[in-house]
Amino acid sequence: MTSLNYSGSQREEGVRLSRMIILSLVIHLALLTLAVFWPMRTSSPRFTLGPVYSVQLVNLSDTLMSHKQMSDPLGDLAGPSLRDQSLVMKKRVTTQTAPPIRKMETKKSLSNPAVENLRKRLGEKTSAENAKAESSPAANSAASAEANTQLADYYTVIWSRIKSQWNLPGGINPKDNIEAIVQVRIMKNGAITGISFEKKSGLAYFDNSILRALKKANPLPPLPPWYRENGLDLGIRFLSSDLRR
Amino acid sequence: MMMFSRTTMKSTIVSFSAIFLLITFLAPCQGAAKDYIDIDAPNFQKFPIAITGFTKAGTDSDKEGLAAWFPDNLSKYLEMTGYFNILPRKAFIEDPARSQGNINFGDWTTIGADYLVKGHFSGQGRDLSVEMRLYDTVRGVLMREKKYTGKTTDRKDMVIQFVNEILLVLTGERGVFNTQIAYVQKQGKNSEIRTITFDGSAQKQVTSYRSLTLAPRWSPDGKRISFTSYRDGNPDFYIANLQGGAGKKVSSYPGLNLSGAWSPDGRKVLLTLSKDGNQEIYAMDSASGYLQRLTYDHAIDVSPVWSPDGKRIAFVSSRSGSPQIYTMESDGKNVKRLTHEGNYNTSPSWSPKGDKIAYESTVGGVFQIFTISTDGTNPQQLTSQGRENKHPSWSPDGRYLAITSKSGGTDRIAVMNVNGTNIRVLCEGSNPAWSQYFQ
Repeated sequence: MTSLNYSGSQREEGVRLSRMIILSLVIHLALLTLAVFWPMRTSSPRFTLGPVYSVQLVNLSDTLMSHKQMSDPLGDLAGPSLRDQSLVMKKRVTTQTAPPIRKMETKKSLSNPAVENLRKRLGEKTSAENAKAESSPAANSAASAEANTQLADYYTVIWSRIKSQWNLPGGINPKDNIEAIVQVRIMKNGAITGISFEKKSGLAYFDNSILRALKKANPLPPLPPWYRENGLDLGIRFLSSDLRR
Repeated sequence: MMMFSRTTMKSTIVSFSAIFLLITFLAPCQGAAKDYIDIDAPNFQKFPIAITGFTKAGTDSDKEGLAAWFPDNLSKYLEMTGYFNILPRKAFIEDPARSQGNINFGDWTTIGADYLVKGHFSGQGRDLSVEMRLYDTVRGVLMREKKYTGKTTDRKDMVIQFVNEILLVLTGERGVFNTQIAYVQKQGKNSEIRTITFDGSAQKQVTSYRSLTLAPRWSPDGKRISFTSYRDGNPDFYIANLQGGAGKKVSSYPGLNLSGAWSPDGRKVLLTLSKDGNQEIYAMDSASGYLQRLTYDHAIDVSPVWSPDGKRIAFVSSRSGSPQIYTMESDGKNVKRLTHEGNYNTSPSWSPKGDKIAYESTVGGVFQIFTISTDGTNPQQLTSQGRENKHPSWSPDGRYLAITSKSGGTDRIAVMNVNGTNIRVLCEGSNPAWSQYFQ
């Protein structure tokens, strides 16, 4: 009887111990999950739709010239509506003022058909800045912001390149706001690989026009030399806004 | 029992560790930053397309010159749609001897042709067999391939069928080649109703009343046309069967009996009658002739048209002092003013997709064609000054408008793309009304 009692209390202790371990594991897991996902939640725009570069249908160069600031692409990601900004070219709130040389270069990049020249300039500039970043660890955060700005420059170039190849006759779209989102990977040499639709428009001819534009724009200018990764994953949202004035 | 408890604990620990590891390794992947860029509005550019000469099977000579006839007519009908830029044959750099049937897509992308049509035909006597292919030269893929067999006299139909295929694959919809436009043609002091096809090739006389006949409107099945004629002295309302017959007088109230649009289900016809003093809008049951009065206003109410769902009616009223477009429900309730800009807005036509209404409005004293959203926003001028443009009527696909275009004192029927481009004159005449598709 006693032995039975003894073994009974031992069993109870064992069960309690296992409960405690499970509870502890649950708490740890919860904290860990929170620690892993919380930063993602707080910076959620970074993981949904990134910087938005949009254009006015006409007066491209004017629009670019009128916006004097080139800035950190992460700066205004908290913007509530990406669509609302879609007529504005790089309208960003920023704490960092870009060096004047950058806006000159961007301006040229879109007005000058020889994209290769721009790439060369971009390359020279970035290698100089990379050297600076390496020499001083304290300059790392500034360099990363700078890198983002330079990526924005690259985006501007490829945006222009792809847009110039995207053609459809006027007045064929059945409604005003047709949208398709494409995922691409841009290799170091600028080759577009791995094209896939994140969202199809529902209109085969519209989706085909996008594939054709990407095919014609391929290869894009090489990725900036300072960009360490093998390739750059990018989402491209194509909007018809056919009748917008 | 204890052993069991230990095993449970072990397995619990293992599964939690597995989840932990999964989270640890997967999280960075999910969190990998990806940027998005927006590309807004494609360039408005027609599809650049090259159409090569057709090849012929066998050694017989091509007496009818079909090798050139097919590309010529494909070009003609594609150009008619307003969506294609046909590249001139002299720009071609393909060397047929070198290519030997294989297509080097680079030869075509180099000259700016995004699309290529090639064809092959064979025939014996009056029999004809034609294969046509559409290629996307940029992606290097065959997009459509069709084979048609028939008589040599069917060749125009073969071309139009393949043009429809091209339109379907490149724009999502077939063309409107199997539609007709009814219109009024002046003949001295009189006028008669006639019809013409979209390509302008075939015309037909509907009435021979030798009097003033006007305002043609199609029944939705395309079998009947309603109109107003002064044949018996009074402007009476008639319906003519296109299969034959002179037309039947349906409404002859004292005063105006002006033809309006048919309801989408064909059961009702809208009329403007002045029997009660001034012009008011009525809906008539097309079978029984039962009349339902829809408007009650001291001002003039005319030109009624249905929305494509049959729930609303757009019309013109001068109740605010000047002619403006209004909408109301199909029973006459809930009248709303649609146009506010301009002091003379008339001739409404509701788009088949239901989102817009086309109308005419004066710009500097000259009528031009406009569209407006059905909520009254976004009025857009489609035609520009220089000549007068009136009476818009939508094509059944909503991509074109037929209009009356006046220049040098002569009214002409013209069709244009809905963005105001590609105006093409069909014939002399006025007051066009576009049919539905014919089977």
